[in-house]
Amino acid sequence: MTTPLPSVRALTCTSCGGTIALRAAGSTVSLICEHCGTTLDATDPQLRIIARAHAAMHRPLIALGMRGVLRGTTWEVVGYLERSDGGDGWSEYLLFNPYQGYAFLLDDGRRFSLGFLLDRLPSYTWGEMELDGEGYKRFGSSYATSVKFVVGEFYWRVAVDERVRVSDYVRPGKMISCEENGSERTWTRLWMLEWGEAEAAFGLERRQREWSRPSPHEPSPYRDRLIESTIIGLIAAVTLLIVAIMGGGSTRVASADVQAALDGATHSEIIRDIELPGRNAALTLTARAEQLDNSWVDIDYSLVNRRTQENFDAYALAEHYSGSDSDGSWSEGDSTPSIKLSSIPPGSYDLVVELGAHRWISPSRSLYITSYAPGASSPIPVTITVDRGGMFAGNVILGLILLLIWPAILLFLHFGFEQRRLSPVTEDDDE
Amino acid sequence: MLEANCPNCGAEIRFRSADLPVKVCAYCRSSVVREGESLKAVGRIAEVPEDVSPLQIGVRGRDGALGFELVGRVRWRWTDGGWNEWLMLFDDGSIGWLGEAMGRYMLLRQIAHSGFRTDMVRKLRDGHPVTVGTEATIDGIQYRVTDVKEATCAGGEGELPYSAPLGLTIASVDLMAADGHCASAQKDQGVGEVSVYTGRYVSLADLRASGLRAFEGWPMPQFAA
Amino acid sequence: MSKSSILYAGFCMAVIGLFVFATMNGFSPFAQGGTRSFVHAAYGPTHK
Repeated sequence: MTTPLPSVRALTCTSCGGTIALRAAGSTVSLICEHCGTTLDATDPQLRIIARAHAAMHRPLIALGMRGVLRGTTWEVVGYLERSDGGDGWSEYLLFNPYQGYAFLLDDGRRFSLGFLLDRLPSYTWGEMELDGEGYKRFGSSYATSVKFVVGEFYWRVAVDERVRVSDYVRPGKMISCEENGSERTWTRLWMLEWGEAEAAFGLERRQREWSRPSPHEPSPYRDRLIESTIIGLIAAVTLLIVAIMGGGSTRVASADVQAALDGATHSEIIRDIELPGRNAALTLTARAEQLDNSWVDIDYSLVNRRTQENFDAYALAEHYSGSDSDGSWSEGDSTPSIKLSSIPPGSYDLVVELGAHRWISPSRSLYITSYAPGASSPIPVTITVDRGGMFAGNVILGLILLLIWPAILLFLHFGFEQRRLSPVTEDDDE
Repeated sequence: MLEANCPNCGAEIRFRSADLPVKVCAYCRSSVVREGESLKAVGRIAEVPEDVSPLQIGVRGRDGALGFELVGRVRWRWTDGGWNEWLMLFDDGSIGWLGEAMGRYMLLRQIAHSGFRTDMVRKLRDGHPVTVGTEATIDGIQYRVTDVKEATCAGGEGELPYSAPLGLTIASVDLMAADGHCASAQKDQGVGEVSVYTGRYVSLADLRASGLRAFEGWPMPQFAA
Repeated sequence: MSKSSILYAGFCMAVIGLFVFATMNGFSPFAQGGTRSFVHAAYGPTHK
């Protein structure tokens, strides 16, 4: 077994004399001194000076030489640069492992992403990029970027103000970035790292989760919960509807034909011996007065328990009006009103029905008084029916609303997130 | 297998295969060419600069079922960097090249024909400029040119199929396809010969490489342990 | 299964439970009369 070779070489900066490390000898082309910012030609044994720094040196968040384990591989930070598209800026770390080659750690201020150069060409169909069977949507339009700050070592000739044109293609969790500068085009695929993943690997402070300005390839934090809650909600809604259908049958317990005198005194009828067996139930009291025309009937119900004399009161209005005017003939009014009573205890009941029928006289045009519909002065026949059971539509609707309110909230949050994610913040500076 | 002594310095020297007639003497760095039974020292080969490459002469691996050993290396330089080409001697006696650049590896084998059916290769042969992004189909696979550069030989070691003198200049074109396949075409600017290689991008794990160089502080990866 | 989804499933069961109870008892807050109804229909157009 041969002794391990050192992978780091100590060199002296030609400009300032400071000690700098060369970590990827053989691949490194540009070496920027971390003390004075001078760019040295790493391919020249004399470390010829290429450029002097004109920006103040500052240390990157993750220092050169720091090592961290990301997704099972140990990486060492060998280079750092800051780029900007004219508006926002971001940082890129060049990571190196002698057995794995290079990787990029992108820091957009919020999230970290890990990128690798592609060794295969993505295909472009129908406005979407495709790689390894996954589709990527174009994000915004292509934009120009320039390097603002650089330190460490790189396998290409990097310099401040070096410009490249970038086009991004995104899907939740991944991005494909294409960079061109006239003579070459490079493709990189980036994976967004989980919250806290890069921070844990390189010993940084954990960043707070927030989603006000999502990165273009950020997966929606609402998506999984939305899918789960939609499934649960749909199962619950179907269960609710099944319960409603099963419990929705109603049976007729009483029926009577009564009369209401038009413009006469109120008239009381009693429907006797309505038996309600078993448990509490809903009752539907329907009054059918189809012969009504331009008149109405006040109906006061009083359901009295024969034993306890407990009574349940309700009111219904049967009405119907019609006529014709400049727009043609019209009619309105419900002549067969139905009312529901809830939770009537079992027992023996009498239903007292007080009816008062009245003619309606239009207050506007006396010329169009419609009176004397055939048999207008004869009493109005009203059929009263009592049904036990049945389903309250209001209950079903309220139940469904309550059940689906959580998935609806998540849906709203998810779409809001996706909209913020896919809209470019900066204005397009050309095209 | 031929065991002999370096005609220049007398050190022990070994030739493994008749297809690899050139060997760089590890001691005096002479390029020793074998012609039949006789050996001739032909110039000096520049020492390969120190680098942090995990590969070294003697590394073994497998391309699918076929095993290989790295027996030689040529280093190339261009204006903005350099790369290694490692000579692979397969267990069946055939040879290939493992190109190492920017931490990525291209496993390449020379194609059996001239490649002149492909427009791009003819352009290279005739000295016309080849642009990045040009499409080229070689043996049924569609590639795009990703890189065009002029490079010079910057050194060599081990056993080689040809002498690698300092100053040998080539025009090199790299191509990439949609599924990991890659290709490389090189024109020897002196002689005018064009060679075309096709293959694919591989990782050291894909090759199940063993015998890699150990570096201080870097644990040897699982596949090579 | 995320925590919020588990809580939501519990909430759904509670809603369905209430619904079952209401159906079995013929109860509804939307009824025009009966026990514990909260809505009282308007009277009109004329009031005696």
